[in-house]
Amino acid sequence: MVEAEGTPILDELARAQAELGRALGRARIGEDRALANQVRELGERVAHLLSGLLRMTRLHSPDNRAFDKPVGELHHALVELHDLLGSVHLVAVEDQVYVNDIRIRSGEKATSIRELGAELHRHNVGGITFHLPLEGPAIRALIGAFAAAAAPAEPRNTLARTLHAAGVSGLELSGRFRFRMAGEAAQQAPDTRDFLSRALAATDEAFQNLAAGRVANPLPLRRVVAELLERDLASEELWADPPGAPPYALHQLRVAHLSLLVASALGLGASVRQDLGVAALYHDCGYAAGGSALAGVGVSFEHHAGDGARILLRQKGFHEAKVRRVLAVLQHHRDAADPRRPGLFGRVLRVAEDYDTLARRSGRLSPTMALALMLRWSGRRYDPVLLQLLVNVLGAYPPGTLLQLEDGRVVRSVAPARGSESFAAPLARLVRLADGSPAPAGAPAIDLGQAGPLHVLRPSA
Amino acid sequence: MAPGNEGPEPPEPQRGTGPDLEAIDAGAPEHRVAGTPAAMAANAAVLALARAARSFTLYDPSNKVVRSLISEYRDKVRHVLEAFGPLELEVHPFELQLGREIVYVERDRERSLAFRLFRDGVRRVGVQPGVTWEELLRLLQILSIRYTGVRQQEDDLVTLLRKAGFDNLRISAIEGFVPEEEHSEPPLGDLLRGASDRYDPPPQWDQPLPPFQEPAPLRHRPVEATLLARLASEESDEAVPALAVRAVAELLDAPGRPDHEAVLGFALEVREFLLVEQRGDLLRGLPRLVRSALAGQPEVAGAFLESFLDPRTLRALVATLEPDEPEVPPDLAELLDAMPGDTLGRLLDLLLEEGEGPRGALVRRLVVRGCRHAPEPLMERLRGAKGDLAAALIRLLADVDPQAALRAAVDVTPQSDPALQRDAVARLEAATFTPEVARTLHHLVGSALEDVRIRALTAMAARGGPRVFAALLHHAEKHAATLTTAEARAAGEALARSSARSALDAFSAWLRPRGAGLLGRLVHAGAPAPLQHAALAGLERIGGEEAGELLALLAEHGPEDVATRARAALQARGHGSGGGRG
Repeated sequence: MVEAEGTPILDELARAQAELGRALGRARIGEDRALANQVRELGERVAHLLSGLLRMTRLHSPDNRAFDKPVGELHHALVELHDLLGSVHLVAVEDQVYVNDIRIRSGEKATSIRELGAELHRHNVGGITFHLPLEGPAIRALIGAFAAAAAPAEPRNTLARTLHAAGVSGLELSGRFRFRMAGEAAQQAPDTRDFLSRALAATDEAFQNLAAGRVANPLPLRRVVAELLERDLASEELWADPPGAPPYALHQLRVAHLSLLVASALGLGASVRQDLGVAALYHDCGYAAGGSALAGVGVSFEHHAGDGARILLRQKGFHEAKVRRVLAVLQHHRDAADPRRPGLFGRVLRVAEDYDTLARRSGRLSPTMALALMLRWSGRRYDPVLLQLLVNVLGAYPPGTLLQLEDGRVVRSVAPARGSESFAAPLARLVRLADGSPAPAGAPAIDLGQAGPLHVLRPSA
Repeated sequence: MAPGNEGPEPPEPQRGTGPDLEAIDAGAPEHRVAGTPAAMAANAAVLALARAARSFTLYDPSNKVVRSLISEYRDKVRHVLEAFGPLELEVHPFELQLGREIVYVERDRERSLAFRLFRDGVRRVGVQPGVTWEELLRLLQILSIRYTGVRQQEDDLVTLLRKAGFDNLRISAIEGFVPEEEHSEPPLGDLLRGASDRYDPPPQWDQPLPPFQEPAPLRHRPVEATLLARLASEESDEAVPALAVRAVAELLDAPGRPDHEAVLGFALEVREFLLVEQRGDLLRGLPRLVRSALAGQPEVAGAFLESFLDPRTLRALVATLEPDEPEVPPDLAELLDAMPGDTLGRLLDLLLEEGEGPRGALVRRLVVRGCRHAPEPLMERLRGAKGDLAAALIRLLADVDPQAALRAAVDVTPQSDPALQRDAVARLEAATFTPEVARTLHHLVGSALEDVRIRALTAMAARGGPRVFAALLHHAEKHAATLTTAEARAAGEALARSSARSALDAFSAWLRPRGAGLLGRLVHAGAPAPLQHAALAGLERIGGEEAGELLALLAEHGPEDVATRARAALQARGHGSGGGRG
């Protein structure tokens, strides 16, 4: 173990005690225990009721009166849980059951939990997402369908079709899951698309929940950020825009991605980077204040920062991360040179957000031009150091830039610069051949360092 | 998807799962294990970690027990790493395993480190010899937070571990669940999803951006490390308290639909944080900015301030001041002045808690300051007070309103409490003599406490003069048989001081009662000794021949102690050593 030379041991222990005391003190004030307990209890009720209903089908048909009470209770539990959380995700993995990521304690009902998993797995189902609280008839149909024999082929899809035919809607059936170990994601580059899909879904769900008047639940977004940080932020796969992605969620994710690139260049610690990433995924949440559960009136650009910060306050309990994201959301459109100088997170978000809006969302500017235009405002709208860091990490031809090579071929840069040497020579993929015809699928990457003079094209080119 | 703050639940414990387990006494918690020296050293390190992490459920972090456990943790980990190299532990539901040896067993779920780790999804823990004390401390911190079962909404174990950014600790944990590819089926789309309410921002949200004119050339420019460090420090842990206060200020001022309830609720959360961080400076400034921002809504600000300065916060604020702080800091003074409600009452509670403690004088100043314009709360508190509390309150009141304090002192004299009576007599000694003061002193002359009686006699005489002579005489004669010497002397002096002439007459009557014969033999025979002491003390104060004669009488016929003192008095007057008059 390495110790600072000459550090008096007593001081070290005293410091340790003080530090632990502060950490625990901070942790204790960050709890909204009432909400946590409510969610856990309701989640447990849903899981156990569902398991009990499935067990009852061994004795009775789902339309039997014996089901009336538990079906009613399950409906009410789903309604209550939906009011708190929005969509209710029940997942059975191995011999455990989770409701919205909270593990259901089995206690004396361990068999009930195991049986629920087994019933679901029989139909190749790993999870059920209740987007809406099912009514009694739909619950009976669901129970009945699960009680029936599993189809020999595509049992899950067959089950879904059965439920659809029975008029059940407002839910989703997921495939089976396995546990994923930390670090596994970083080693498995091929599942980047899956990651992007999960990240976008989590971001979209967070926004929908806020719009429905629910309390912010940052933990799923924090997991997204933690996983993102484990990945190579400059990898080509992460810069690909998934088709059909919800525009809002994609923007939040891109801003988070860009912010984390800047944060890495800045040398922010892991904890602060996580907080920044979560703040970025929430940065435009003020527009959720226009949801019908809140004001029901569209939120203006001028008000969305303030409204967003206020929405985030609905999450009770103190946390340093909450302070950081509230301020960041509040300040993310403020000029760096404003007399009320925005904090570091606000300034990072401003740079990242304007870049994504100009370079990707506007559809009118090339990423190179977007960055170059922003650079003119360095020191006024933008923190000059942070903007330069963004320039350094994105390079002269940021991902998405269309470039015409000297021989007439058109390529698209697909990854940011990896250093000063590749600043103007990013990884690129062929888009069109010299004769204007589309590039063949699977064409190899092109090293722009050897490509001669490059001409930046507008997006429409 | 990812599981929440808890990993999969471990299975029930199974006894006798291996030969090593059988060697362990299953009845005792957290057994010390036998085995190779490496296993034993690992066992000691893990036990130390478990005990230190668990200690916070029982003790305050500043407790010396915690200190000793942290020290043990550090030493044991250091030993195992130095002696045996990297420590690689496999986590099982109720055991930790080093290679093939079990180095930790605890079947009690509440106590078990293995269970906590397993439940949180941790499957391996590796500690490298280069591990720093900061890293070990951070690990202990994370486990302690998990043991105390707090803060589970913002973080889970995996996010906490990642935040820690360990270089020399490798922790392998379940961090989520992913689809099992071997059971995949073709996607069905949103067949069952149905229509649910969605809300999307306006299509062109945040747009258009303000105009941009000329582009600038893009170049790679390295940024100096010092500049980066300066920027990064803006979001350091040390910066968070100030950021929190800033957030409150900006939220109160933010455009859009105000939500004071949410913002002020957040401000109270920030208060909690500042209390933990012991940032008295920011704690005092926070209510000021709320008042300033809500100047147009005093009732809202008032309600907040009332909640803000609860007894705990007040105590913490006072604790941030130096005991010998010469002045109340202006921001605290402003805060106390602005507080509605029973702030003074809270300060009084604090004062009584503090007593003669290091900050007693400081709190006393705060109380005096707090009720300088309105002592009513003090009076109100005094009404039901007794003993030391009442005395302390009267003393406080005297600093604010001496007359009120006097009245209070008069009011409480019927109580037999020594502190109150002593305080009252002291106050009456300095008070203007009024019939009420006279009555009270007269009452105290009958106190059960000798010192109070003596002081009351003295004060009566000094302030009342001839007006109180009769009362003093009555007291002396009534209690002639029981007065102590000191009290008798005080009574005599008081009589002489009240009226020398009347005193001479009274002393004469005591020493030479009518019908007692020419030489006044009854002095020796019948005048109670206390009266002789009283007369002696009084005569010592009175000049003149008549007094001298009475002194001579005492020198000749009084008991030995009186006679000796009388002779000394006569000597001092130049009358020689006395002797009989006739």
